[in-house]
Amino acid sequence: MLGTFEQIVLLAVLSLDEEAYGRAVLRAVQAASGDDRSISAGAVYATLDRVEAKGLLSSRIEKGTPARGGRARRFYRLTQTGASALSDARKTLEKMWHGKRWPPEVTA
Amino acid sequence: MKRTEPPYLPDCLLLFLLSARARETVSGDLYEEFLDVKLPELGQLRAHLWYMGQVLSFVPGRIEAVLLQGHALRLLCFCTALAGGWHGMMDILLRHPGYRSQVVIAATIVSQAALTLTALRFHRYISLRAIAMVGSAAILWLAGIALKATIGGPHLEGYVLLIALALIVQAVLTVLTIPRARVARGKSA
Repeated sequence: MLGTFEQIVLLAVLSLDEEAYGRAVLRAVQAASGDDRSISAGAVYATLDRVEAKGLLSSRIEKGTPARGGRARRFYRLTQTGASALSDARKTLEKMWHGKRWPPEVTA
Repeated sequence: MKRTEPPYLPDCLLLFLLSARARETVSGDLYEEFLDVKLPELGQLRAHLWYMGQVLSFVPGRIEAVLLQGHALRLLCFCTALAGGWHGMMDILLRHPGYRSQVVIAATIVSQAALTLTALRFHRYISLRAIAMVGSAAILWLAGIALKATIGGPHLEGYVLLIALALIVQAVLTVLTIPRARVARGKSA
């Protein structure tokens, strides 16, 4: 089962399509959360590494440019396994939410 | 002329914190963001502070990676096993009054170190991991007794203090590392 943050990162990669490199994913996740400071770069890169190790993402390296000090750039892409995992996570959540009244009636 | 490079020391720290695989790409991302966005937007001082903040955000991941790899725990187990083995052997040779209980303590320390190393090596066996976790409570208890006796005793035995502290760190690392090492190896497998 995917964690919430993993789902967010995978969805960011999906939405960025061909432009999904680390920094762009970080910006997309920060924009989605609405708070630039609450999401650290370290957390996003660690999650990208983890989900890639699980086979949910694949990556390719592109040559560095002078704007990057000649350092290479890694682009990510959702794999079939990643798409299935996202789909399963969505189905599970939809099942759990189905028929729920929201906001719930809570007792004090 | 103003420097337009990212700050040198944080940049070196970043390279140390990142894995070999991520070193070039992640530092390139930060470099690009620093030059293209942060430096014009924030000015040199605040851009440098931003860069430092970004670098520090990789520290927890690095600590976790070191824990998951178990290098620190392995090294500590090796040291405590060596110290316990040496201590036990000297007890057997010198045969001071009450040496038998000292030998039992030394054997416990060596056994726990060996058990932890085995559990790290054969992480798939739940029973091994469970025994290593229980053993970590035992060495923690031993370390507590040793610390109490040393600090409250008439002579401060430096080596006992050192071994006790090492055992405490070993116990903590065992509890932190062994369950997570299983997850990490399981993922990479």
